[in-house]
Amino acid sequence: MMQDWFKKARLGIFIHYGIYAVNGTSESWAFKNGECSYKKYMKQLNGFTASNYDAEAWAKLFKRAGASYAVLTAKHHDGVALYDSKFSNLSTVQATPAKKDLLTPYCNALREQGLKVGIYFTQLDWSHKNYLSNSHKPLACYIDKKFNKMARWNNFLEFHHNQLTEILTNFGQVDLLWFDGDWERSQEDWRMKEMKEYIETISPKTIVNSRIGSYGDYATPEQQMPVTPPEGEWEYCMTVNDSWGFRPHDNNYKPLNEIIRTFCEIITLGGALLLDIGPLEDGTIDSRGVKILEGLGDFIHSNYDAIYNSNPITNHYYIGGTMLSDDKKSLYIFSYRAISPDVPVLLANLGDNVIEKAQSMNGDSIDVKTKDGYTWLTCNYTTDKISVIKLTFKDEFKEFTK
Amino acid sequence: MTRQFSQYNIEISSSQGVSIDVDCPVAISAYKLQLLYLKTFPETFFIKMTPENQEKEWHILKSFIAFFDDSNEVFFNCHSALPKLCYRSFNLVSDDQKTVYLFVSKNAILPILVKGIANKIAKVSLLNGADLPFKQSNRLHNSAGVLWINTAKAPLKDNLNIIEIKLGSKLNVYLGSGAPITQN
Repeated sequence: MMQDWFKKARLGIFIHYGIYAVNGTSESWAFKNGECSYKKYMKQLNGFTASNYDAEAWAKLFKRAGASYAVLTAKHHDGVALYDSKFSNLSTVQATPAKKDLLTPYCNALREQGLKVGIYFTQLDWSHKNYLSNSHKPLACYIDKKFNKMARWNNFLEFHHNQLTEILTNFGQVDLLWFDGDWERSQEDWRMKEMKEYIETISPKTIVNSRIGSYGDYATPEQQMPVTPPEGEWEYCMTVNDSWGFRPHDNNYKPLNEIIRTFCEIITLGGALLLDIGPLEDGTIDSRGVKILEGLGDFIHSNYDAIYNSNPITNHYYIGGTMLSDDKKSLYIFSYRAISPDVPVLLANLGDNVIEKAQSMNGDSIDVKTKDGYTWLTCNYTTDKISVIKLTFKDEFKEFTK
Repeated sequence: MTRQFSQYNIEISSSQGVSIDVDCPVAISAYKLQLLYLKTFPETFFIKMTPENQEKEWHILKSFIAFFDDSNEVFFNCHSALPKLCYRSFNLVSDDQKTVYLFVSKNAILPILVKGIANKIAKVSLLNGADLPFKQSNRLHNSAGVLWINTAKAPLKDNLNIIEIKLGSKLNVYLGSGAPITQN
């Protein structure tokens, strides 16, 4: 169920790591969409080495990026688990030259860095013989008229339940469970209500995302930034380039400014950004992805209080974004314009809130002038990057009401 | 459109397009010019000229008036377009609904973010000027993605700039919350 930490989660790192990185196919979807055959796709098992997998280095990078949590694909739709499952041989331990449980070191390393542990675990399993897809193009391996469909489905649900139990009991406290793929069957077929109750029983502090029928704890808009924020808690997931997993030909990395601007947009609207990277099959992360994470980290660490020790506030005040400090005495102004002394920053609707101090997050001074209901800030510094101004008020900030 | 230079007021109303009444021997401060960029707070506002800043700000007024002269086609017969959730600064849509105009200041950090335009975008340019590179990212399932515009190589004016977004069809504004993707 929802936990307080997620309301200030701000940034998570999503990691799509799996055998699809071997040939750089699309994750699981490659055989579903006909990009390659199932057989060819699964041959990638033989090339998956995780030879440079270093969970501690990942966790340090995520911490450096300013994240508060991460989510790793413990099992994607292809059914390949990144841990040793008692209920399937299809895992990086049993079925790949890596012969490694990748999930345990990941969970430990995140905790070591003080990050919350998120695990992606898809509901569906396109490799399980009894998984019945409702897809318009069922895979040949699912078609077996000799067996009763319900018996097969029940068998799959039991398997799914067993793996879910492994995920929630073998890796310490799982802070967040990121389901996916629920759309292939109805929530009655999945028995989602029972699934949610079960999770709350065995792991009450685990937050569950929206992809569990209607029983999720928060919404997950994907690759498409919300205009109106969703109701309640939410998290926007987005890739650093155009792919969830590693694809060698995808060079379309988003510029750092675009990522920072997106991050600001999301957090000031009240959401968290779950930013995805796809490691190579050996476990290393493309340097362009690393650079983006480090650049975002520079922004977050230089504006830490404005991001993590504050809350979004309905913005009646400034053309950019606004956050209000936890003690409600400071308003943080996220400026998407270059700042210089000759172009003052204009604020409106501050009412009778008395500004005690105005400064940049570095402590550079700002002169304040109030006239005709508007507040003019003359910043005694320059920056051509997205930056944050801190206004501290004499008393708790009173929000504008129309 | 009538421009009178007999009152100490400039009125801009997003519901009615823009009407301007400028008293001629007046000045407008650089600060107040920012109000035009903003158009964030009240739907209509007035800018009052004060005698004490006339001399000092005269050059700004001149560029301000020149700006409006250049931009007639934008200001008259236009309507309000995107709400603040999509683009926080002043913006308009043409009478036929097929062109969106964004007001952009020179110091905007690039790329410029615009949300909520669900149409396929044909062209982005400076008003009567150079084409601008843009990216309509993640435009999925016919709902709006995100528009990023880059003006890095464009000759922007010091004060106001207008970006013209040509749509292939009538403006369709998406105000939704996004959704999971069920087909990759």
